[in-house]
Amino acid sequence: MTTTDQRDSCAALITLLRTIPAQPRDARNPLALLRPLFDGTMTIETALSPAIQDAIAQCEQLAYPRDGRGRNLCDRLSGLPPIPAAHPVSGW
Amino acid sequence: MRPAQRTAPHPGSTPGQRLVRRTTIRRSRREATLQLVRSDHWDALMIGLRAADILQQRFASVYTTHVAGLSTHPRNLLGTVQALFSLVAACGVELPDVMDISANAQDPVAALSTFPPCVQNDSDVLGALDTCRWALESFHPVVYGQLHEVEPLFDGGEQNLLALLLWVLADQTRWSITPDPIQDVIDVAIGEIPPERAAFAARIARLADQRWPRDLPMDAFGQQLDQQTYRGLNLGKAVRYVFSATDLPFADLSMDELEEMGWTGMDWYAVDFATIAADQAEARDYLQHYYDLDALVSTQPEVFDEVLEVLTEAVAATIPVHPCGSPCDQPPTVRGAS
Repeated sequence: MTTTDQRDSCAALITLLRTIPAQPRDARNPLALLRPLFDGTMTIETALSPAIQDAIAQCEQLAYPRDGRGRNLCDRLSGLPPIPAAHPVSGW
Repeated sequence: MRPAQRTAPHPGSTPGQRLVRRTTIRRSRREATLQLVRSDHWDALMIGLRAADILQQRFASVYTTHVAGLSTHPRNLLGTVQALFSLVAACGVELPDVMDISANAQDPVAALSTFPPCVQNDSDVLGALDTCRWALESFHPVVYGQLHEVEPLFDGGEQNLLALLLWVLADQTRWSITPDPIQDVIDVAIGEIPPERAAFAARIARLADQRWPRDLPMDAFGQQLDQQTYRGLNLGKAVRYVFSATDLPFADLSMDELEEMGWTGMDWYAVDFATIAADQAEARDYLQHYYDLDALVSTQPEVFDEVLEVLTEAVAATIPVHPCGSPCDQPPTVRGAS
């Protein structure tokens, strides 16, 4: 049996929940955002919007993670001074 | 320290079951994402969207009017690629033919919805988009330079005898670009010439001991040839083209060389289509002079002789003359055709 106190606290909880802005259940899932893109129901203009492009980038990052180590190595190598050659290298 | 419990436990589940459920959901989502990102459909959409983005940046009015509101159905994206290539072609730029798509420089908007006969179903559309991938990675206008490879040039023995003539004569000079020892090239070319064209084989064989002087000033020689026309064709253009000495990358580089270099590295978003179209037109003019002159040299033995004679005279006119009246350096070893 529900007491008056319990009913009041439930009502208060419901009121509190209603103050939270509604959002899709899987809004944090980029795949959900991209579903219309794959269904062919999204417009090209929307597909090029930052939100969709960001979701695409998130999915690609998941499939092809780039941890930056290769980039860092390239940056370091490109910053090295040229190797001094005492004599011209034959054949170059 | 353990992380705080964020959700109320399900009355019927133990902590172990909850962990398995969350992990399963995460793994399932990850697998779904991986499956999608690595699918042909994903690739095709990304290719199409790349084209749409380029179109938005470079042809904004067409994009806004005809493309922005289209759905992301692969057929529309393939149409977008076709429209982009059509608009670039309408600027005068020649792009390499991409199989399975049809560009229409006269009516780029029609290209949004007109597909070649080979594109029938969705699978064909995805395949066609895939063939466009390399063309959209970076901007690749056509280049017209001659390939410097023996077999394709002299295959069949009925073409490019002008190139062979020039390769032999310039073998000792700064312009020499022969990939193999020149005698090997001569042997291959003669071996390709059919018996009924023996007159050409004899002429090529006689070239074996003819060379322009090693220190022939090629820039001055080129300028000398620029002044000369033969049967309405500019000799300077034809000769410079053969030696990739036009100073015009579109005339000096072949598609194969470009591929070996890793393509152009040009940026779709930054290139000036009008400048590229003008450079291509100039390069095509070089090619045309070569092509037309070669068509004469490779089919008429007397033209072969005449061109050799004209070149010989140009060499003689180029070599600096010493005040005493004789050439400063070694005399040219060129002889006229006998």
